[in-house]
Amino acid sequence: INSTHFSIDLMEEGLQSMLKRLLPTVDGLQCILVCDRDGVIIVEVHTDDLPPAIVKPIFMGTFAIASEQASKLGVGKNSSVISYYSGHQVIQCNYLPLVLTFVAKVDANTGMLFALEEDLRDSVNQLRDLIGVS
Amino acid sequence: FTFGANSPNYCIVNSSIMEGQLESQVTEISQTPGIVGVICTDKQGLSLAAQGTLKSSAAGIVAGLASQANSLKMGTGDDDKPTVVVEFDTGNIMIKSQERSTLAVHKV
Repeated sequence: INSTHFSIDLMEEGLQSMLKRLLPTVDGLQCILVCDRDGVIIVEVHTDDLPPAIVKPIFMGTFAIASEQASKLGVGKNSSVISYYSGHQVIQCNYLPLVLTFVAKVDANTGMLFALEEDLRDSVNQLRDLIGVS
Repeated sequence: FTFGANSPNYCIVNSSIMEGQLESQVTEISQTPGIVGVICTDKQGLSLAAQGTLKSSAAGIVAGLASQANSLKMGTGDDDKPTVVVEFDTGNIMIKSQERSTLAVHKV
């Protein structure tokens, strides 16, 4: 158990620095975070211009419910949800019990954010497996 | 309309569906000799149509490259957007954006 917790700390630090390095690679990207299904943030990086009201557990926690409902539409398991608002876009990716979230300006390149998600896939899956063990 | 049913490039395009006209144009381009991939994306980097070697997953990068090149602002006006050419040993990918969409073509 102790070694697993140590691995989680290492993993989080490694993931945080990776996210910090990837944050400026897409124009308009303001926040990358990993949270659990209830919206409790595990790892987060954000720019200074991110409005703090966006990153709230109640907002992040709705994805798990929405994704489970979307998976019942009969076209397979829901992998991601993109939400466009007037000033921002939020992309939430299903790694339940983890959720990978990108928050960006509304005119940011959504396709590039999905390309970024592919780069993070292995790391988030590793984190999910570690949390599953503990 | 159909292309020769016995040809290796046989396909059916239903022009009555919403994206039928776009799909038929992309199909026509992809059937040009030397063209092995075509993708059309919107401004947000989401794929509108993709065929051949250029998959939907490339949409964001294609739109991003066009956008970054345009930010150099070397053109004579807002309508003068650059054509980006990515050269490989095996061929080129040419990317051209208009006001609301970006088209990329993979030519060998």
